[in-house]
Order: sequence, then structure tokens, then C-alpha cells
Amino acid sequence: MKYKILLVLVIVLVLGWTVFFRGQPQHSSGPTVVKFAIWGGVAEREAWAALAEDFHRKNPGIVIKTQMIPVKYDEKIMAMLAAKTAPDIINLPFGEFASKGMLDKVLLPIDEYMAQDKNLDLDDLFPGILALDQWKGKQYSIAHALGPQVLFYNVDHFREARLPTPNEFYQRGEWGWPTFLECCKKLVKRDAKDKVTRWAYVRYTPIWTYISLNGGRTFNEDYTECYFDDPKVYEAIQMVADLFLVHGVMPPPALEKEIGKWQAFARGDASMFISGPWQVSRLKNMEDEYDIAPPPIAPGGRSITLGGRIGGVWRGTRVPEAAYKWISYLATPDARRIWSRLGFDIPALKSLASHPEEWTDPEIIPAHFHVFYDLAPSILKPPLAVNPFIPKKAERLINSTMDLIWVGRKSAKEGLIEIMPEVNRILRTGR
Amino acid sequence: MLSRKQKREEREFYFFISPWLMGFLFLTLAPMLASIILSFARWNIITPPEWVGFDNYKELMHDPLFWKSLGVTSTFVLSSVVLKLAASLLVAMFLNQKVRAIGLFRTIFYLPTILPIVASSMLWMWIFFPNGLLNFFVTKLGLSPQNWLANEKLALPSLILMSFWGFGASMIIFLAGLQSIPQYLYEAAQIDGAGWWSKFWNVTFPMLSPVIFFNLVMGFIGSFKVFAPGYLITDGGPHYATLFYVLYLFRNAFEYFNLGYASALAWILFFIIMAFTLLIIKSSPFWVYYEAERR
Amino acid sequence: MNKAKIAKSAYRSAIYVILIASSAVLLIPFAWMVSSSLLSEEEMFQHPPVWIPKPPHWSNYKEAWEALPFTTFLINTLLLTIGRVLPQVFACSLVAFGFARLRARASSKLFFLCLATMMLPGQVTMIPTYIIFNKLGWVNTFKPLIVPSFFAGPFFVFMLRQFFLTIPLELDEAARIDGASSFQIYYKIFLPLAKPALGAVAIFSFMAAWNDFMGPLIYLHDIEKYPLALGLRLFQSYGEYATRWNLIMASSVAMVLPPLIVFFFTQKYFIKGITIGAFR
Repeated sequence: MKYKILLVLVIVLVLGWTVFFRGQPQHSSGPTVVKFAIWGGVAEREAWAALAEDFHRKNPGIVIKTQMIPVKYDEKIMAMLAAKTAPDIINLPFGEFASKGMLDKVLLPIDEYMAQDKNLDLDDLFPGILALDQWKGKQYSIAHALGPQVLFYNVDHFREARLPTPNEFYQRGEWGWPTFLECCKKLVKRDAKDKVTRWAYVRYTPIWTYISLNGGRTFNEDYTECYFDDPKVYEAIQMVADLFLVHGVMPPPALEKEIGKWQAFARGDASMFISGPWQVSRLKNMEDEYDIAPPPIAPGGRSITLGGRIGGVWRGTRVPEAAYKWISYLATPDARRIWSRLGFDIPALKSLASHPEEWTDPEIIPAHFHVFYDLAPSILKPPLAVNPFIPKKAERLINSTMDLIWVGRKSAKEGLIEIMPEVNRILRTGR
Repeated sequence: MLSRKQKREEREFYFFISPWLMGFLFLTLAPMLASIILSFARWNIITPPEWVGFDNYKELMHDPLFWKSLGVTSTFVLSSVVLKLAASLLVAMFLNQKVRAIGLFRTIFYLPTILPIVASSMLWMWIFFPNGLLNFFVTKLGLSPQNWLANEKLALPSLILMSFWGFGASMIIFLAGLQSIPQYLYEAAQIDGAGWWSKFWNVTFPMLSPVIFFNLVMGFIGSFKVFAPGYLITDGGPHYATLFYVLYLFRNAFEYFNLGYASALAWILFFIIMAFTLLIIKSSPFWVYYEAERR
Repeated sequence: MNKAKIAKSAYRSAIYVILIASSAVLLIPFAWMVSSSLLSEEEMFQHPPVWIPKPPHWSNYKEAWEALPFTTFLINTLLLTIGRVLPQVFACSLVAFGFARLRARASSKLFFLCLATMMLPGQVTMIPTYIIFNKLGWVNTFKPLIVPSFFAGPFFVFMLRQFFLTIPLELDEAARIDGASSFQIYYKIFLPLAKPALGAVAIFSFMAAWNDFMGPLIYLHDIEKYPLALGLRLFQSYGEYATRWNLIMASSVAMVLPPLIVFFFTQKYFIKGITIGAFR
């Protein structure tokens, strides 16, 4: 009797420990499985599922398994790289790897596949966009969409303040930071105690947008050097900080987490913010009327694009060819139609650019939707105006300094020049 | 030589403790050794590790953020441990006055410590906001409202306040300790004409000192490892004001993937905790009183 | 009434006033959490704050629950909790029995080692452990969270051993004379007698598993595998809900309720468990 119990116990424990030391189960044969990890929420998940289904119809031998990583994508991918269990297609923090000179250690160049690809219509792609995924003369992915940063504005608020719309200013050639600032001052609403009840502008787009709009460049092409001592860089930041510090038309950082940024705009608690096309689907239930316009661009400045990159083929993959097919498929008009229908970004294909009705819901798009496309040529002029993906450590350092700049503890010039040597050191060593 | 019976008992002993023993070997000892080795290397996960000797430790000494996080954490540990100990001892002494509904009070005071850290972080974030509850009370008192979490000087005190809310855990232990002090000691003191201070100083404090000791050590070790509030509420900011040591370690390990450097940070943490715990233990003969039969 | 009596009753009422006032202060955040969870969108940003929502928006709970896959989060949390509590109780009681009752030459040294590991900050072993689990391909599964509970945690071992020491030695001596093996003594005598202490271990590890944040944060990637602790945080990353504080509070209340209920019904075990460790 007692030995039976003992035996059972030993078996349970041994089982427990063998589970502990057992490796990964082997994959069974069947269709080629391509694992693909991407960020995004519930709506994006459905869009990816629809794309995978369409792809499978066209390539019956390949199944796409999409893994959604909603937060801390870069960190999770790094961890999977360490375990050599990364998905077949990964979207790397491009700049981080580029600045460490390690991009080719992780990703497979796809130039050869591209040369043999009959389905890929390179002429249909926006000129210049391939540069987004090039490093040292090799192609690592195919960007197929753009996320131009535009100004979202509340039409009702502008009407109420008896102001011409930003689009009207733009057509008159008067749209720039000074006009924008004047509008802000007229749009902000205060109560009897001088407390702001409605903000003119909320800070949402990353700081790189403002720098580029002001005509500045933040990093060199290899992400090994920063140009924080360029007046166009720090002045851009100071202008934004002054919206709160001097003019009181933008909420202080303390309030941003509470009332939200674009969320405040959606509720009608703020009149303007800058962001990309994915906001269109988020704002579809907004009560007030809204529209988009070019952001305030200084002479020599331009907007930037965020997003649109889906990543490259991991070096450790066993199915490089199938993985490439998925990347190539995503750049086809069919795939773009499915994806953009949900309003996440703007297809970077000429054949679709002039026919938004083919891939959007005309009910929800704002009147000046074409602004997204109008900005594309200037954004794609080399060097591309994109979100720099710099090492996390450098990003943290910059953000901490921004903490001081936004509240006026340091001027943008002082703060940015102070951290410049350290940022450059991190960029060069990657540590 | 051991007898057969003793041998059998030894075998049984190792069988019974095997879960812990295995865990110790595979989940504590082996990772510890690996961590020591790692702390002398530079490894970013992608390229192979590189042996760098004491470089990580040297780098640490010149890393302003290491010192900053150490300062932030020490401030947090000192204030929250002292505040919590004082408050919990005080409340426990009140509750020990043959109060009615003692169970109810005990439950209420203990309640905050049951909250999952994510839920309580969300709650306190909502309370600390510029238009939040705390500012509502602050303005009721005629003071000016503050940006609790966005102000470099107030962010850490705000998180200390939040942790103070959970003083009930040590309070329960104090209360049990107080209840185990024999009543005759107080009666004897009463006969000697002792006042409340003399009773506290000559009876309560010495009798309770082992419990104070326990709470001090536990509170110290626990709060030195603080991570979640800095991660969830303030993200270490504004401008490193709440960059707790473990948060900085976590960033180095799982954000920057400087695994060697992060391991060095972990070992420094271990030595700090070790040193302070030993200090408390070594100082205990001077102020902790153990009854003769227990020692 | 004489002077001394008046002074005494004044003293006692002062104590009650202090206790009631401080527990009221302590309870305000709870009240605020519940009342915020019932606010409407408009009431949420009103000044001065709305304490009693009119009418209470109970639908917030439904909306919050459906905003994110909370049913999945709940199931994951339950799986993780059960998967951690049962092995923990079993393994710890085995080890504690070994340390409390069986003699071996290295016994006291090993017990000291066990206590010493309590002091070791988890951060020291976190990185290599992570690398090991990563190599095993366990990241993004429940294994790194559940398997370690098969190996007894030192604090619970210590707690249970203290309790086992209070069980009279005569009981197992008598059983041994009747021919019982060590395992039978453990199984038939100690486990039934130690029910309160085992209960305390179970409750503690339940709370730890339910509230654990760092473990899932490091090891889990997919939303489908998230427990409540991580799911609740998702509100912050899903733009649409980042400022719906009424929904965030509603799901916080929902997450707090189970441990609260467990605590209310098991207070005695709980307090026994907390205090047993403190008195050696």
C-alpha cells in the first residue's frame, strides 16, 4: 500500500522534472508554415487574418501564422532572437540594428528573390520607397504603405472661432507655424477663472515630426550621429514646448495621461493634433466634424511617414522562400485593398493612389483625404523622412531630457546639446 | 558508521526534500553561477558573448544612472520602511487596547495589501492626476493643487504614499506580537507606578523587539526590490525621479539587452541587500530582546 | 462618576475616533475605485469629482469586459493560479516534513541554505533563468510560470516546518510502533493536522499567483495567453481605451474581487500564516 503511494509520487515528480528538461516538440510535416509577428490591436488582428486567408487562397501550399504582440514588440522579438525561436518574418528596430552594424546578422537580403519575382510590380510602387528597407546596398523588405503625418482639425471649432480652415490657409500659401500659432490662440477656450476648458492642440506625433516640419534632420543615414546642435532641430522642439509654456494652448504633460491625446480630440476637448491615416478609423464615431490638412511646414521642411514597414526575413528561418512570398504579396494591390479598407495606412502603390474609393470606406474618410497623398512625394525624396528607429537606450535618454524641456526646466537647446555626446556614444557603440 | 535505520532515514530525508533540492540546484544555484559568469561578459544576444573582466563593474561606478537609481531606491526604502513600521506599530497598539470589533478593523487595515499591484497602480494613477481625487482634497484644505506624478520633486513621495497605504501587513504581525505579551508584566509595571511611556519602553518594546526585527528585515528586503509602481505608473520618470534600481536593471536586461551589465547590477543589488541585512542582524543583540528560554 | 473613570472613557473614545478616522481614510481609495467604475463618460472628467453617479452605469462593467478579451484573461489567470497553487502546497509540505521530522547529517545545514535563499533577490537569477527557459523554447508558454512551483518555495517551507514542529512527537512515534512508514505518517497524520497551515500556504500562493505581474510580463507575448494582470494594463496601450478611466476602474474592481472574497472567507488562516513566520 505505502509503496504504491510512494511509486505514484515518484512518477509524478519524475514527470514534472522531465517536462522541465524536455525541449520543444518537433513540427509535423504538412503545408509550409510561415510565422509572422506584428503589433496591433483587435481591429488589426482581423485585418491580418483576412490577408492571411487571401494569401493562402493564392498560395495553397503556405499557411501564414500571425502572432500579435501588442506591447513591447521590439523587446519580445529580441528575446526570441536570443532563443533562436524568432518568427520567420520580423520587424526589427531598424535603426538599432543598423547603428550596431548588425542588420545583416539577423535578416536575409531579398534582392535575389525580388529579381525572380514575377508578381511584384516594382513600377507600381511609389518611387523612392524601397530605400526605406535598404542597408549597405541590400534590400531587406518591401515597404508597401505610408503613414504621412498630417494635421487633424475640428471643423466645428474653426467655424466657431470664425477662422479660415488650415486647408484654406494652405491654399493661400499662408499656412506655417506663425499662422498655426495664431489659430491656436483663437481656438483655446477658457472659463471665468482663466482655466482652460478646451485645448487648441495636443502633442501626439513623435518629436521627429516637428523637427522635420521645421526643416531639420536629426540623424545621419546610418544612425551613427545625431545633429541636436542644429538650430532647426532644437528650435522645432522649443516651438512645441512653448505652446504650453508660453501660450498655454496645449495641455501640460501632467494632464496628457489623464485626458489623453487624440482621445481628447475625439471627445471635442481639443481642436487639433498631428498623426497618421490610422486615426481615420479611430475617429469614425466622432460627434464633431473633422478634417485633415497639411501640418504647418516651415520653408525647407516636410512631413514624415510612420509605419508601413512589416519587416524582413529572419536569417534563421527554414522557409525563406515562402516568407519572401508573403512580403511580396503584401505589396500587391489585392493585399493593400484588404488592409487599407480598415483605414490603417495609405497604400504606396500608384495604381491605387488616385482611387481611394477602391480601398476605403467613403463614409468615414475626411473631405481632404487626398492630403495624405499630396505629402508623399516630398516625404519620399531622399533621404527619406521617416521615424528614426534608434536604440532604446538613446530613446530613453532623449525622452528623459524631453521631460525637462516640456515643463520648461531646461530650454530645448540646452537640454539637447547637453545629451548629444552621450547619444552619439550610444549610437556608435550600441550600448 | 550509520545504522541501517539511520541510513534509511537519510534516504527518506533526501526523498522528501528533493523538490526543494532540485529547485535549489536548477533554479537558484545554476542561474546564480551563470549570472556571476555573465556579469564578467558583454552580451547583446545577437553576437556571441565577449569576456570583459571587471569592465561591467567599472562602468557601473561611472554610470550616473546607477547612482541615481540607488539614491531613488534608498530614499524609497528608508521612508517607506520607517513610515510603515511607525504607523503599523501605532495602530497595532491602539487595536490592542481591548477594542471592540477588532476583527473588522484588522480587516480594513489589511485590505489594501490584498490588491493586485496592477489594479492598485491604476487606481492611484487615477487618484494622483491633476484633476484627481488627491488634488480635490488638497484644494479642500486650502492648498494649491499639484502635478503629483509629473513633478520631479513629488513623483517619488507620491509613490511612497501609495506604498504606505499597504502598512496593514506588518500591523497584523505587530498585533499578534502584542497579544502574546503576558498581561502580568504590565500589572507588575503598574504596581511599580510606571506611566504609559515607561510601560512602553520597559515592557512593550523589549517584548516586541523580535517582531520589530522581523518586520524591519522583511520590509527592507521587500522594498529594496520595488519595481511595479515605477514601471506601471511613472515609467521611471519624470527625468529619472522614480528610476528604481530594479527598474533600471530590468531596462538593461530586457530593453537594452546588455545582459552582462544587467547581471553586474543584479549582483551589486545582492551585496547591498546582504550587507544591510547583516548589519541589522549584527545590531540586533543591542536592541532585540529574546526571552531566555527561546535563546 | 469619578475623575479617573471619565479620563478612561475619554481615552477610549479617542482611540475609537482615531481608529475609525484612519480606517475611513484607508477606505476612501476603495470607495473611489467603485464609484469611478460607475461613472458615465461625461461625469468622468467633471469638477468637483462625482461621488455618486446618477444613475450608476453598471453597463461599464459589460463594456469593459467586452473591450478586451477578458474572458480569455480570466481563464488564463485561473489556469495559472491552479497550476501554481496545487504543486506548491504539495511540494512544500513534503519538504517541510523532511526538515521537521527526518534526521540526516546535513539536515540543519540544508535548512539554513533554504532560509538563506529567501534573502536572494529574484533579480539575480532572473536573467539566466530567462535564458534557460528561452533555450528550452518555453517563453510564451505557461511553463516558466508553473513549473517552478513544483520546486518548493523557501518561505512556505519555513512556514510549514514551523507548524509541523508544533505537532507532538508522540503522535508519529506511536504510528511508527504500529509500523507506519514516513510517508504514511506524513500523509495520514501531518497533512490532516496541518490543514490550517496548508490552507495558509494555499491562500498565499493563490494571492501571489493571481497578482503576479513581473513573471507574465517577462515570459508571455501573445494576448491570448495574458492573465488579468497584464490584460488590465492593455487598456493603456489600446488607444481607444487609454482614457476611459471608468472602464479601467471597472475592470480593476473585477480583478480585485476574487482575492478580496477569498480573503474575507479565509481570514483566520491568513492571519495564522502571516504570524507564524514572525515568531520563531
